[in-house]
Amino acid sequence: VAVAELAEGQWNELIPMLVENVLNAQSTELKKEASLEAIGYICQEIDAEVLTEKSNPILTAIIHGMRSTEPSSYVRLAATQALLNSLEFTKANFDKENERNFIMEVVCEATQSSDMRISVAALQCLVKILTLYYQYMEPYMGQALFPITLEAMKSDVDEISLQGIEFWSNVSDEEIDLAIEMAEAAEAGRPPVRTSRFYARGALQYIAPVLMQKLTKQDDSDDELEWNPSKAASVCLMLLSNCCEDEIVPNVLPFIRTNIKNENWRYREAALMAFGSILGGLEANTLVPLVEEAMPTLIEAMYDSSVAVRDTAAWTIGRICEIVPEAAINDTYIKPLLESLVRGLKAEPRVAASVCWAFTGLAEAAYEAADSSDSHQPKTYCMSSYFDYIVERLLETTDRQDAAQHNLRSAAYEALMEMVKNSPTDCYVTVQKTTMVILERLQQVLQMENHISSQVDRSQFNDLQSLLCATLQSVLRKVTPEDAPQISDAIMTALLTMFAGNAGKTGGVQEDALMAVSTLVEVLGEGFLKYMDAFKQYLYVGLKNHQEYQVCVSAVGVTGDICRALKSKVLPYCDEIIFLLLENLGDPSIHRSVKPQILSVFGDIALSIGPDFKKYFDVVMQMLQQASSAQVDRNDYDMVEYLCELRESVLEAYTGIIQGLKGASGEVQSDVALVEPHVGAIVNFMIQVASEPERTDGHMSVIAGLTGDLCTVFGLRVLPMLETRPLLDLLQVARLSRTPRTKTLANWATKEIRKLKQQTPLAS
Amino acid sequence: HERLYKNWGKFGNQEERRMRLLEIQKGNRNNKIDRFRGILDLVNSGDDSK
Repeated sequence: VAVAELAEGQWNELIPMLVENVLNAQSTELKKEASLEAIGYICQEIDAEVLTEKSNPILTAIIHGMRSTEPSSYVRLAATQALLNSLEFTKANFDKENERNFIMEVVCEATQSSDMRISVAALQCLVKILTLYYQYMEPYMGQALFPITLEAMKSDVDEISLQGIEFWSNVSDEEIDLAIEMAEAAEAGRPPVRTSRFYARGALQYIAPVLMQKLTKQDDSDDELEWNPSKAASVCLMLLSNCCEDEIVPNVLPFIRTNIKNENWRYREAALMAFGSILGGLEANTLVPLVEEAMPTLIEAMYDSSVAVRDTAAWTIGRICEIVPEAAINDTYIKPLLESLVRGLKAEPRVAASVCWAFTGLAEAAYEAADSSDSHQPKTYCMSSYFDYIVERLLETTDRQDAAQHNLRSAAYEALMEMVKNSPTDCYVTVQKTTMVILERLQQVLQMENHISSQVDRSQFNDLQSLLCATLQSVLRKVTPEDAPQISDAIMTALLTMFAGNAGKTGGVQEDALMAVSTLVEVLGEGFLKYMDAFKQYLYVGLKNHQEYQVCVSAVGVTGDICRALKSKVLPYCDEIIFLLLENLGDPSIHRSVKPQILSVFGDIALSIGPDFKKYFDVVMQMLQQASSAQVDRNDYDMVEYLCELRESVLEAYTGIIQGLKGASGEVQSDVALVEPHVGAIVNFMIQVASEPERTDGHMSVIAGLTGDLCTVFGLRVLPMLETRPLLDLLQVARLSRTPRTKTLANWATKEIRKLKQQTPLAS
Repeated sequence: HERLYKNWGKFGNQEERRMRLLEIQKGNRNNKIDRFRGILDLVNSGDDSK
């Protein structure tokens, strides 16, 4: 109730009442605790701005409850938890040194409480304070934060240890961000707004040994999915490596060398884990020799007697494939490595799942390392002779009885998709074979529809359909234009059956099926027309699915694909499509992410049907003008991102409409005159977007293109409108863009402007 | 930080597929527009001196 009322400026007596309950010496322990809990819950749920003005009395009550002199541990705990929830809106208090000192003193004191729950809550406060107020931490770091968190890390109480580790993970996160900010500022030739104090580098020699000790405390129970200090330590090492780069090596390497062959599996696994964790931050000169030296040991570890060691070895190999693939993909190691991985596919589900992820990285790395100088796809690569065998083993893995454990089925299908996606020409026969296997599986799965009784089976059945659709997308992208029509009937029949069945009513399945249709449309081009009459009903169902917006987005995406593929042959379907798209735009409850996609599709439709777009022109232009005037709260990052996307889509739609009405042939068709009365508004919108601080490379690209279009279509008549400072500045910046298309479009538009300027007014 | 542990964060595959498809669709749209403009080869070659 408070969250609703306070946000509306109502129930103003509430906070003073709760504060009074805490401060009043006559209040009972229960009343104090309940009042602090209420404050905590309100702080947790409410928008930070609502309580900013009330932060002083709230903080007074909280700190009062947290003091070491407070006799009740219940009150102290409730106060500490309330502080955790209030930290976002107490910035004004942290800005004042004396108040900050007092808060820090009380929090640090609470970390030493003998009551574990209070200690954990206070440590959680420190973790959050560090992230929110990093720039203020210097006076406290050496004296208090470092010793407190180091001791916490060492604790045998997991909850305490986890918070100590989390603190240093957050320090690393923060300092990685600050390093990025520093580099960006240096590139832009300005001083950074905030600077790193390099706490992680300073603490490395003290915290690395504790983290490695924690790595050896693996959970040996069956529940490997439980978060514990050992797992947290590996993540912390990973972040420290990203933050401190090569400096981490001397702090970790002796532990790895000493323990990698230890007779105790815990030490072998910890050594492997430490090795895999630090790879991401190292410089190539340090990394490559280290990994090359480790490869035989890693391959050997794939045959270890311990399941945990094999699991971590497979994960580490996956990391190597992502970070330094050349160390694994070479004549010396590729064969024994692949042998060990294929063997790992038959191991316990957790090992097999890690092996699948290793194959995912390996497939991509091997493909990138292949020679593709002659064409867009390499003819062969280092895994060609093993490709068919690996794909068969992966297909077997997806079918394992225990594949539901550790997401093995999903990981195996994902590996299969990556193998197919990254396959060279000489593996095409296997791609063809795999396509048929997936299709058969899809047909089999669809026949099982009526035999499903339990909820668990239903969920697995739906997941499997999604995965098969996703794999279909992957294989279809590799199928040659000659082969595609031979299998498309069977694929489309299966997909239509899926849409018609119960699973097709489930959002996730419907979305993956629509994405598969997208791929089929792309592969078949105009050949998709023969399926339109059967498919359109499901497309319309998707477009009407306002509840599951991801389905709606997919349906809008397929609509754009169909327009591009069918060109003018999409015309018979356009009335219904435009009606549904307009209905979606007019629905205030529809998720905002659908709207930009719809606007872009208007451009696709115009490009496809050219002069026939005239009948939709007025209503679509009205929608685009409405969208152009959209405004959002500039403090809300998500909304600013949405606004950027919306604007890019509006500009894309204008581009499509102008190009569509102009016609594809070199000669400008007279229909484009319809746009001329709107040119002023379009250019004003381009100028507005060009002048915004949130201007993106995507905006520059589409504005540059549109500038060139307006020049080529309307000639000298638009030149005075286009020759304005914001647009000329934008073109200048876009000509230096790192995105090749943006750069090319900016140069093209500049030349079109120049051409016009060289014409005499009479010639126009 | 749990999703950074081993492969724990790698299960949002549908989201990755969405992003990949949106990128492909955007690329296809751009190609079509550039073909209408008659500058597709120029854009693909990245050669803006022509």
